[in-house]
Amino acid sequence: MTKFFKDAVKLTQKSPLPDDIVEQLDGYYKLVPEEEKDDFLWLYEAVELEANLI
Amino acid sequence: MPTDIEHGDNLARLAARHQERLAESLVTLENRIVDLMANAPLQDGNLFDLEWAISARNEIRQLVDAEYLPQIDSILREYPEVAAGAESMLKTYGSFTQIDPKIITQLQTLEFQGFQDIGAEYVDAIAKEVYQNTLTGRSFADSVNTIKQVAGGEMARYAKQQVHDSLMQFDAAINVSIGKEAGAKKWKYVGSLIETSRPFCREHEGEVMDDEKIEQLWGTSWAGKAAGDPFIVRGGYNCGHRFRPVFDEEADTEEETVEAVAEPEATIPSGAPKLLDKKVALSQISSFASKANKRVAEASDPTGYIAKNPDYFPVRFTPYAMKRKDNLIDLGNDQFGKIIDKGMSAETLSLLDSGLKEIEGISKKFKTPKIRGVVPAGGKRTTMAMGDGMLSVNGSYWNPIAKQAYVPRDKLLESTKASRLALNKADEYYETIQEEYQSAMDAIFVKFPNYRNDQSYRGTPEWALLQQKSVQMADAGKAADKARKKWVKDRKLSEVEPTSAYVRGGNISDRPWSAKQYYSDPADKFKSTLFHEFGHTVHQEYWRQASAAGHYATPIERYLRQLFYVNGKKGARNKDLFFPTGYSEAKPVEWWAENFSLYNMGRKDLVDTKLLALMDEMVKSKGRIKVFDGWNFETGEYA
Repeated sequence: MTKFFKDAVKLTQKSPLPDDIVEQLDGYYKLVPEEEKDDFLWLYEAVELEANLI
Repeated sequence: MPTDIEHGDNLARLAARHQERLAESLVTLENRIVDLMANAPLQDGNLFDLEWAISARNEIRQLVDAEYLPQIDSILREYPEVAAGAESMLKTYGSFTQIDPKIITQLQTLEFQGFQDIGAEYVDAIAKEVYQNTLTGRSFADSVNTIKQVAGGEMARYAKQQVHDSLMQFDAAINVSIGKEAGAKKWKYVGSLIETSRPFCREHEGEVMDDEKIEQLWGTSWAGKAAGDPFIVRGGYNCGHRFRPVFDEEADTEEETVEAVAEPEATIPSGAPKLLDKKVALSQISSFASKANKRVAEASDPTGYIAKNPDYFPVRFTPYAMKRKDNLIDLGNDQFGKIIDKGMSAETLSLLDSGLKEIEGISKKFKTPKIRGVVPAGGKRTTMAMGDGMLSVNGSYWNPIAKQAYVPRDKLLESTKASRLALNKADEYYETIQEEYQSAMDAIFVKFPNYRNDQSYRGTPEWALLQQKSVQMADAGKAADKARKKWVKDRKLSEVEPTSAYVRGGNISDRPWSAKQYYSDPADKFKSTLFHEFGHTVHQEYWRQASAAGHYATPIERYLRQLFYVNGKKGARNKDLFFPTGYSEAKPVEWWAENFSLYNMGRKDLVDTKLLALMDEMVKSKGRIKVFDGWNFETGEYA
């Protein structure tokens, strides 16, 4: 797991989540290598659970 | 002793392994360059320090020396075995002398120098990008992305092609050297035909030619032809053919049939439910959601969602969409009970319909309301998400996977083959245009040797031609990239993803990131994710009156926190628990959802012992459980 992925995981564990959490994840998504991108999508799922339902 | 075809196939496999090894090194190199960028001084998030940019060049060179060249060295050290293989193959056809080991060493040295040149170009290209981004004060994230494009793009592609061509050219040089030493005057053009073989190679495959014929043929041109000695460059870039020496007795009698490379067997995924017409699927799911959107005032009724106010359904979470200033209570009431299928294919809807039917049974077992509505993920990256009984589904993510569940694999392989051929054609055209561009450039160098100081070449026909080729080259490059992306996408669709074999107590490095990676069937991947999402509904809705009374976390969520963290307080995870996936370590509710998915997918062997007991108890219990493991699930505290 790359450092960018680990940093993004830590970000999603913050409470409360930062207001621009999705934008910050977008930044990390661009940085993680191709083989990690599919796994990375779960971090959006974790955030959606708390931040944006509808 | 191997035949010439067997020897060629061995080489093709070795070339593929070499390319894989180099690709791994290049990925590591790319990551280390990105790590280097992470140390760049920033001002308001932008690069600014030119001194750092200049010093970065030296560090980039050191990274290339550390990651790229040792791999090349290791690859080239295998070349003597290639020479031995060529000698052994030639013995099948006659008596030949052995190659002088000095020649092998010299060829290795020459090849290494060629790769060193590529490495130097690589350093130049990256260092230039770093400097330019710093000069223009580009943002850190943008800079990292453009540098990744340079590092992993054209240069990496070129290096990988060179690894293939270097091996084939080395083998060709050995063949020809031994043949000429033995006095061969005739040569057989041999190699396996594959779907991407050039028309030139297809036409001349198996043909015996003399020196004169070869010279004559190389006077003509074809797409992808490379400059150089015909015995060495053969059909051109990426060619796997070679000239094998033959003598008259063999040339007169030998007739061999060359078979095309066999395609993998076609298989159709078996776990997919019946494919429904989109309207039928939508109608069925809508009816399901409408029934599931049951509002009850009685908090303990497990079949419906709890309403604080008889007129409204609650929206529980901190709404990110507050930014849009939406009235979420109204929006929730408007969307609950509906299915918005925008962006979802018939295949995705068919999987969803089947999954929701299974959830109907699971919701009864877990005494939790069903999913009461589906919305599209709407431009978000999440693949699925859940909250307040509403499921969001990302059609653009799931549609290709759902397609895999319904389209026979042989059809997907055909598409991959077609897009590979289109890519081959696009690459060959790009190579041709690059050569034409280089020729146009050379023409300017010859006619205007003083071009650096004198710009009189501008406005000449040579300059116009160069401009034209430059535009064509850019277009051809874009077309080749587009064709490559399509091929990568099609190939991904036609590939069967290996299933994780991780078991409890196994090597943690084999553990997958998410539960869906325990399945290779695309329909199972969808279902596993859907069950994960419904797991969230369970922890959000089970005995929900506690949160309806004002608490944020439901009793089950508070219990999960107690288990997940040491002393029940956010911080270190409890090491006694079992985490079946990487994602299950992220948060208590994701630990629950991953385990819940595995439980309902029949993989109880991968469920944490404590959660397994809880889930079994929830299923066994007639109503919702009140006390379990000393925890009061109604009030959310230790009993």
